[in-house]
Amino acid sequence: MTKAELILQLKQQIIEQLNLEEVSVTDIEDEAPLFGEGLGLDSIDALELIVLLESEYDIHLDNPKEGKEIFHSVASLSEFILQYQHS
Amino acid sequence: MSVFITGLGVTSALGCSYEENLAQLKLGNSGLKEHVLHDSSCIMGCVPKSNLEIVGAFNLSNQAYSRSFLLGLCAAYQARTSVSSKLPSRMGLIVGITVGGMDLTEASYQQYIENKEKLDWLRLRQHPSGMVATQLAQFLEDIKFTNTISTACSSGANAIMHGAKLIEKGKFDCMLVGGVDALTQFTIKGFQSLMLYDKQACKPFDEARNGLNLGEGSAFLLLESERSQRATGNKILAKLVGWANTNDAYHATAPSPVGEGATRAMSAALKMAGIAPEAIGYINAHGTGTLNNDLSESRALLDVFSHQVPPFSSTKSFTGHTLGAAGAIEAAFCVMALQQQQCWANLNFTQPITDTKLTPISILKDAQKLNFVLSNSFGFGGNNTSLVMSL
Amino acid sequence: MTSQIISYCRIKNDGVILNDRPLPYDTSSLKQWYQGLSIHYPKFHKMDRYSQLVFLGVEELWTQIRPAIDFEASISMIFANSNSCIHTDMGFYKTLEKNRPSPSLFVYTLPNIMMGELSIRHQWKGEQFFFILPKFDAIFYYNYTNLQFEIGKKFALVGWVEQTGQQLDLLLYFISNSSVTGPISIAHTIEELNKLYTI
Repeated sequence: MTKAELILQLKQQIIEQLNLEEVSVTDIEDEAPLFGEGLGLDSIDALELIVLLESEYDIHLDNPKEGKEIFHSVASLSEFILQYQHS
Repeated sequence: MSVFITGLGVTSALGCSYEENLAQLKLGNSGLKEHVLHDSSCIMGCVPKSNLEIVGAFNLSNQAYSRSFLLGLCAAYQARTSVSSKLPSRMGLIVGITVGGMDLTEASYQQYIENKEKLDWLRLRQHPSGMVATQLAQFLEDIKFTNTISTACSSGANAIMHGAKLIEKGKFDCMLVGGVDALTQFTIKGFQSLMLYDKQACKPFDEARNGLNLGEGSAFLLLESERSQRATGNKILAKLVGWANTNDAYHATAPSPVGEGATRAMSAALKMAGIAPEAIGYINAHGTGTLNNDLSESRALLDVFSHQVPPFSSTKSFTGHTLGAAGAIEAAFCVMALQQQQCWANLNFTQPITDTKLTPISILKDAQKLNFVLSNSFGFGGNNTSLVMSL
Repeated sequence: MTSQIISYCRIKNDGVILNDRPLPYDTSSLKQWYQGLSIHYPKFHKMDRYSQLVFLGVEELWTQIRPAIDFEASISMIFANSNSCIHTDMGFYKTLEKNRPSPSLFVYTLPNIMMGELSIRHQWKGEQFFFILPKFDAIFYYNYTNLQFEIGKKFALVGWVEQTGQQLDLLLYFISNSSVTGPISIAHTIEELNKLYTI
């Protein structure tokens, strides 16, 4: 899977996992922050993203603090997943 | 109208009676230990008595009971029998609870899966949150009505507050009020999924705190009006003199970062009690040990007490977080503090939170003259309750 | 001062009644109802069904009376049902069995979260209790609401919020114990409460 494909897939998965009904794939910019201003996600959404990483990518995060940088944007999330898969 | 606390019963990881709990609080021995529940192994606060032992002690019929009911029974029976057997009127019973009979449902389901046996509907009927109150009323006999309150971790405190209101407004003369919750896989895994469950014993108010441990237990307080107490002559253990419930209106789980709702709850309870903040000699904090709660509660304490925070501690370092029971168990510990003129320790504390620099009492402290104590209970959904008790 | 029910909303499978008039929404599609309200509140989509139902019902009630009321300080919320959030409990249990417990579902298994959501939406910061009752109990609601008025509250938002199987059974109403009036005015009595419930 290319990075572009992964980014698209992640956007779809995020919308589904977090029930972002009023958001479409094109609304999410690759580099825009997911939390705070951007999509307005909150701490529970961050935990749901951790569940998403586990169930879809078999990546286990133990410490919610680790999530902060990883979940900054879809781009950072995709980089983390690619790195993980290659390591 | 005054609200007197004349009876008390408590069951927690520290023991199954008032005396056992008091002894462990004085010794500074935590009840938190590694236990296994279904497939979860973690630090919990388990009541040191099995269901069978409780069933035997109360001569209950040979059927399965939810642990929530059995723990509630231990505490409610103690509270009721610690005073004169004759009350001037039948009591109201209010139970704060979150999981109901879920422990029995989980056990039954497990057996169903493993043995492929039929489900036992008699067991599943104990699932709803309201069943514990119904079962307690059947056992205790002199209960006029029952109520159940489910407001997350403030349930037990809210049950006490509701009972106090009914007495204060002259609606009832005697109320048995408290909280109960058993440990379940549901809640343990739920808090783990929120990444709020510490793998070690919790460290409330410590810079290195990393979450809570769940516990189980129950506490009940017998509340009497002046009229009732005059008739019974029951010894007054303490008075309930202030209470308030507020909402953060901030987030479903996270408390307001500045402790806004907590500040309002404490201030309103103090105002109702008609005392200045400096009159408070001990605070039993909510202090779950999570990053958010302890920081936000610390800020609220600084706010309410103008940076001169009285001795405070979180006894969840002894019992674990007992959810619906927590507010009631901690109110019971506050009554014990008034009775003993001692403030309980906050275990596992080494370093204050950098931001707020508050240091809880980390060893048992004798009080000079403990007249007023405050107990905080804050729940998900932004539900905050503060109770003020006095000698 | 006598207290008055100033706005009510009854939600069942066969429709929604707001102050004696049916609303054109089908309770099988809460999203459609939400869209009909023309508001922007993305959090709605993340709520469980209990919170969504209560959110929508109160949104309808509130638009009817908002201009008249300064609620914040003196409103009490009194909610109840008999089965807590059992539907959401089962949803969470399913994720548990798959060994992927959902944190957001876990949060909504607490019945008072629906009141917390209303608090966040409307910035109502007053007292709120969630009771578990064997069934809808007009006497309980009547007595408890009056107790709140006795201790100085001016308004109450009262709710019965039940889902059993596929059956929806909700009654939400505002009561005023002040000179503030609403689109309707029904005497706050046990009889009238029972009448509203049997609509």
